[in-house]
Amino acid sequence: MDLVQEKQIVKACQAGNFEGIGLLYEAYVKKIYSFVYYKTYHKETAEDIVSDVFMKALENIGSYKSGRGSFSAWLYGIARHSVVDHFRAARPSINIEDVWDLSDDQNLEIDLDTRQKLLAVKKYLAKFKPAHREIIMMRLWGEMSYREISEIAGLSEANCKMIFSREMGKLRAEMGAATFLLFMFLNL
Amino acid sequence: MEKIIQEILDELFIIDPGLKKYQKELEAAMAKMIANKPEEKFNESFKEELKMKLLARAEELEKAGRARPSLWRSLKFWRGMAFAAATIVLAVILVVPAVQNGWIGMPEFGAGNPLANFSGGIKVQEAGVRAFGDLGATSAPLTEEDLARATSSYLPEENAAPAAPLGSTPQTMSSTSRDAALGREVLGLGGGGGTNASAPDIKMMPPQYATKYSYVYVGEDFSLPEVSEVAVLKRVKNYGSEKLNSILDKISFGLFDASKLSNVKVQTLSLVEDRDGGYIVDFNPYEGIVSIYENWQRITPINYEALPRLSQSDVPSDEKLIETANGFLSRYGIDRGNYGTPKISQSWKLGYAGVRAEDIWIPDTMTVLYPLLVNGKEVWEQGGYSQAGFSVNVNIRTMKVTSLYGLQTQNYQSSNYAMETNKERVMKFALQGDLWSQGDFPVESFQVKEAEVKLGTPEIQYMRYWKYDGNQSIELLVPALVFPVLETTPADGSFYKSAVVIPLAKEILDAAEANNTVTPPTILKSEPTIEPAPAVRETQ
Repeated sequence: MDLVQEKQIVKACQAGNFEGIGLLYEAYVKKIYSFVYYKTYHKETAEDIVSDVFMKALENIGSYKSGRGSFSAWLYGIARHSVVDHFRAARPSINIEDVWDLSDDQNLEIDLDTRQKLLAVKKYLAKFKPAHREIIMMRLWGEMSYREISEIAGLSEANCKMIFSREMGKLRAEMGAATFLLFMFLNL
Repeated sequence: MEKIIQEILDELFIIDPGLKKYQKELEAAMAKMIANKPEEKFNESFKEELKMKLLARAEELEKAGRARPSLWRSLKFWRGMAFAAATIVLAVILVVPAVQNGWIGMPEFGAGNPLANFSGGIKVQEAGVRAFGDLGATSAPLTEEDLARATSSYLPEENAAPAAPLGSTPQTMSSTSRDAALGREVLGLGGGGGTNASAPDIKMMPPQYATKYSYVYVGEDFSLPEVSEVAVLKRVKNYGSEKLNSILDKISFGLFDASKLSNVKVQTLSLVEDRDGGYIVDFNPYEGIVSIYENWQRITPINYEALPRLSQSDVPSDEKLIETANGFLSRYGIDRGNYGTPKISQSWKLGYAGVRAEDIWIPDTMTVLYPLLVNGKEVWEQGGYSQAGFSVNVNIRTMKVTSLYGLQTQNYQSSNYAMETNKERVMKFALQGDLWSQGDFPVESFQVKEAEVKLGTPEIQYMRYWKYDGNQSIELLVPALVFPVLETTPADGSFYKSAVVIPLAKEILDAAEANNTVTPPTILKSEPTIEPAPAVRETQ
């Protein structure tokens, strides 16, 4: 589905004709799931949140205003808020954007295989601001273009590129020579 | 991995050439990150399950009108005990009399049936001329009273539609315009959705490429019927027989006494087959809609991830799919009398033009569509993307029906409206693609390609048309010319319209013309901007 058709479908939905809602869903469900999964790292939790996201989007599509941004940005905004709500339910006093904001002593539900992988990079990623971490993960793990990332992050494309470049420089410095040597000789 | 790393490195060096001296270390850092990318575990059966729920809710909203206050039920709710408890209570109370009286299958109902009025047969009752008000006024101006009313549950429709124009306004306004006019910021519920003043100001980013479609009529010469009026049908909704609602007067739920409620109505009713492989039936008496889907508590879970990917040869023949769907309808006594020849939805193939057969993702579920026929005519949605009717979904791995959506009562009022007799005017809209194309994308920012859409000889069918009145939606069937889309040149696998639908009620065209001041006869389609489409689409 292209952006123009997407806009037409959204307008139709806002007018009460939900004929194209299935197409919108198909276009976004996996992307939103990935976005949520990279913030929760737990399949069942991600599925529950994604269900909430699409139901909220359906119920509130009339509140979406194209003049304020793209539909995808609006949808990712719902996803971001829903993840925060999920964590806030457990820790009402702390602003938690994803699992990285939680300390290790939290009894977190994280998929077992994922937990092992995260251990290898957590000490580096946890140091970044949540918004910057999100950009790194979207580019490296989600293989998203800067255009897509900029829409989701609500920043300009140039700004996203600059943040990614700066944070990659930091990451390189953090990981340092040890990672480089491992990469070169042990093929990681 | 090397490809994406190289791509990112190239971008980085453009942004900050100073990083070039750290190329190897950056490569190592990125490789480590990518090597530890978590597996997302996206589950196709979850996707399908959620889609079914979403479509069912969308259908409810469409029937109820989008201004209806939100009463959404999330998937978690459906998974919750509250639902199960409520279902069991209602099933015990109502399933026996309902099934004994055969409410699903019985063409006519006896006086003792509490679900009378919900026959599947088509009933049309005559109303006066222009009894449904001004067809061009698709939305009435929103007042503070409307807003106040929108915070309460939606109300039963008046049985007799007023003869006077329903909130006809010089200029219809979109919901968002109305929000703006009232100075209201509409926010989402539960912390999710919506935008507010603190939200970042994100600008629209149009694609770099787009296709401009020109519609060309290649059908035979035709003339409009030599009549001055068309009969518009309005679907009648109400809460049904008093008998059904009066049952509630005698119920005590333990937690509260339902007899204390005043003017109580049944709004939703869920019946559960509490057996392995059974189904859940959701019935909305007011909207007159039935949805059926598998009883998720009693199905054997399928680990789709462990199953081999489906290939084209696994797709059953259309005949086999229709036979399975028909068998389900027969078993549950669902009358197909008002529906045309079933067909298999091909929507899952959209977007695969030019893709090798082995790279096409085959869904686990195929949809059999039963097109609604009213007075022998098809009913098309406004956009021309699909026809009205109900759908039966069949899992092609198990050949079991997983769900049925869109079955609804067919009780109508009929009212005459002036017909558009100017063929040139009808053709002007047809060659525009629809009534409402605004072309409001900034065309100058696109690199525009040209494509031609060929339209064939039209037939007179019905168009489903929604008219909004406060927090109510009125579902109308308006006689319309349906121009079939024969082909696009060059062939375009992502052009979704099956037909161009132009209503023949004059005042709808008048309103469209009055509001469609920009009206460039184009529909734009974007194309991938960064990379060519992948050979395998994972999500569609």
